[in-house]
Amino acid sequence: MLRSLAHHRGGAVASGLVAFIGTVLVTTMAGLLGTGLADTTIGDDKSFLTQFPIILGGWVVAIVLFAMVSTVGVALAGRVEEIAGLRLVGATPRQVQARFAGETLTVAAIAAVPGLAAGMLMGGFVLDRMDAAGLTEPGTVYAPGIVLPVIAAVLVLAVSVVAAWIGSRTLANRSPVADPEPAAPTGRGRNRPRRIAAALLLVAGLGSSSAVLGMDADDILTTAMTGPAVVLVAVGLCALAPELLLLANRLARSGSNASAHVARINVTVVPRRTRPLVTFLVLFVGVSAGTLSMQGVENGHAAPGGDAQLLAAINYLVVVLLGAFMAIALTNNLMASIAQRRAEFATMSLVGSTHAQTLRMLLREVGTGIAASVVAGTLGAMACVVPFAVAKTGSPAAAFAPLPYALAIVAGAAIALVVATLAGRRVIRTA
Amino acid sequence: MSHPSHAAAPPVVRVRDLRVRYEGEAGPVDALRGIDLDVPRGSFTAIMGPSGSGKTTLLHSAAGLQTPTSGMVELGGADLSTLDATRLTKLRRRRVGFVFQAFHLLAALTARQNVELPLRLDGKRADPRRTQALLDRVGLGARGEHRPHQLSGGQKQRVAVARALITDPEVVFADEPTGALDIRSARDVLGLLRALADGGQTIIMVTHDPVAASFSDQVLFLADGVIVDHLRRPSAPEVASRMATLVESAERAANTVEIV
Ligand SMILES: Nc1ncnc2c1ncn2[C@@H]1O[C@H](COP(=O)(O)OP(=O)(O)OP(=O)(O)O)[C@@H](O)[C@H]1O
Ligand SMILES: [Mg+2]
Repeated sequence: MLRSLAHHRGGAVASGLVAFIGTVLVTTMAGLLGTGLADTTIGDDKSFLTQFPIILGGWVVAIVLFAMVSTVGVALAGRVEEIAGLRLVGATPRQVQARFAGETLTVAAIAAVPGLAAGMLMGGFVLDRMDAAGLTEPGTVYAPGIVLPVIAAVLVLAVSVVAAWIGSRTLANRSPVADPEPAAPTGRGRNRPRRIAAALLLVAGLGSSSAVLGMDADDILTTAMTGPAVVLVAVGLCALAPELLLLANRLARSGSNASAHVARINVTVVPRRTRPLVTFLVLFVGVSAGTLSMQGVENGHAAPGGDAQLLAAINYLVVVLLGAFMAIALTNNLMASIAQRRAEFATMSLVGSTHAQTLRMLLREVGTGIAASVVAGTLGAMACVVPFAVAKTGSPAAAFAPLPYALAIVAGAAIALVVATLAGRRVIRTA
Repeated sequence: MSHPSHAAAPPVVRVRDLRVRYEGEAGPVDALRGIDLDVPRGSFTAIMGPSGSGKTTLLHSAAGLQTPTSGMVELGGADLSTLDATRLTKLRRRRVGFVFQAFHLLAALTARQNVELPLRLDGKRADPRRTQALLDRVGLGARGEHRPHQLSGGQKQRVAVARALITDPEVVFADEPTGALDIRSARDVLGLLRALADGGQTIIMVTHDPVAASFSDQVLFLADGVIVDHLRRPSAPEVASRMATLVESAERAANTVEIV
C-alpha cells in the first residue's frame, strides 16, 4: 500500500495536509474541552470552556468531513485508469472502495501524530490568549488531559475513512470500460439528492438566521444562531457548485478568441474540472465574509463588555482557523485538478495552441469559477447577516458594510488566481 | 539571387543529416542516424519500416513537434531551428496538418469543434459549410455533434484527418492514419488523401500496410534510423516483398546482437 502511495504522492500529500490541519483544529477544541471539564477549572469558565469547544468542534468536524470527501474525490479522479484496471481484473466496487479507504487511513494516521501534538500546543496557546484578554479567570490553567485529544484525533481518522468511502463511491461503481473522462454530464437523476440536500441546508441556514429577528439585541442567541447559519448556507451553496458554474458561464461575455471559446465549452461540458475550486472558494468567501461582517455589526453596536469581547475573539479565531483550513484545501485541490489535465494540455499544444493560449483558457475557466463563488458566497453571507443587523441595530444597513466582503473576496480570488497561474504554467510547459 | 524559371519548384520539406538520440536510463537510443530528404510539393510519400525504426520520430521532427539532436529541417523555406516555441507553434498550425497515431482529440469538444479548433487558435473564423464539407468527405457528415467518446476508433481517426485538413496546410503528416480503420473506411481515407495529392496537396504518411503505401507516389523504407531503400510508383505486392526482406534482415541483425 505504501508503494502505491508513493506513486500518487500529490493526492496523498493533499489528503495528508487536510487530515493534519483537521486534526490540529479538532484536537485544539478537545484540549479546551478537557480544560473545561477539569476539576482545577474555576466556576464560570467550566460552562464556557465546555460549550464553546463542543459547538465549534462540531462545525470543524463537519467541515473536515466535507473537505476530505472533496479532496479524496479529486485525488481519485487522477487515478481512473488504475481503478478501471482493478475492476477489469475482477475487483468489486466494494474492494476498490476498501482499498482507497485503507490508503486514506494510512495517510491520515501518519498525519494524525504531528496533528495531535500541534493541536495540544495550540489549545494551550488559545487558552493563554483568552486569559490575556481577560476572557477566562486567571486561576484557570490548561489541562487538556490525554483522553479527549486522542479521541479527537481518532475521530478525524474515522472521518477520513468515511470520506474516502463516500469520495470513491462513484468512480468505483462505474463501468471499467467507460470513458476515463466522461465529457457529458451523465445520469441526470443523480443530481436530485444533491439538490435536495442543498435546499435543506439553505432552508435550515436561512431559517436559523431569520429566527434572530424576533430576539432582543443583547441576547447571546443572536450570535449563536447566526454563526452556524453562515456555515450552513455556505455549505448549501457549495453543493450547488455545478449549477452556479453553468449560470456564471451563461452570463459570461462570450469571447470570440479560441481560449475563451474552449474554456466556455469546458465549463459547460466538464464542470467537474472547476468544481473543487468553486466548492472551497464559496466556503472560504461565505464563512469568512459572513463571520467578519457579523463581527463588524457587533463591534459597532454592542456595549463593550466581557461577553461581547469574548464572542468577538471567538469569531475572529473561527475566521482565521477555518480560513486557513479552506485556503489550504483550495490550494491542494486546485493544484491536483490542474495536474490531472496534463494530457489535455499536451493535446492542445499538438493541435497548435501556444502555451500562452492554453494558460489563458485555464485562467478563463478559473475566472468563471471565481466569479460564481464570490457572488454566491457574498450573497449567502449577506442573507444571513441582514436579520442579525436588524436585530442588533434595527436596520439592515450594517450588514452591507463593504470591508468584510472585500477582504474575503480579495483574499480568496488572489489565492485561486496565483495558484492557478503558477500550477497551470508549470503543467502546461511540461505537458 | 536569381530564380531560374526552368528549375524544379523547391521542396516543401527539406531535411539534412537529421539525427535524433534519446537519452534513456538503459543507455542512449539513436532513433534517427542521418536522414536526408526532399519532399516535392504536391507529392504523396509513404514511409515504411519495422516497428521501432524511427518513423514516428522522423515525422515529429519534420513537422516541428520535436527538436532533433542535430541536423536541419526546413518547412516551406523556414528553418525550424531558428524559431522559438511560440513561433514554431504558429507555423505548425498554419502550414502543417498532423494526423496522430493516437488521435489526440479533446474530450469536451464535439467532432465539429475539434475539427475547427486549429483555425480558431489561429484567430480565424471557421466557415461552417467548409467544416461540413470536410466532415462529409471523411464520411462523418451526420456525426458532427458527437463527442469523441461517442465515436468508434476509426471515426475518431477520421475526425483527426478532417482536423488536419481544415487549415489548408502546405503539408499533411499522417502517422498510420488507417491503422484503426476497417478495409472500407481505410480505402475511403486513402482515396481522399490520393485525391488531395492530385489536387496539389503534399502528404507524408507512415504506414505498415503495403496496400496503403500503394496509394502513394513513392515509398521510403526506414530501418534502424536510416533510409535504406525507396520505390517509385509502388504496387502493393512489390512493397510487401521489400518489407519482408527488410524485416528479415532486421530480425537477423537483432539475433546477431543477442548472440554476441
Ligand atoms: N521518448 C523516447 N525515449 C526513448 N526512446 C524512444 C522515445 N521515443 C522513441 N524511442 C525509441 O526510438 C526508436 C524509434 O521510435 P519510433 O517511435 O520513432 O518508432 P516507429 O518506427 O514509429 O515504431 P512503430 O512502428 O512501432 O510506431 C525506438 O527504438 C524507440 O524505442
Ligand atoms: Mg510510430
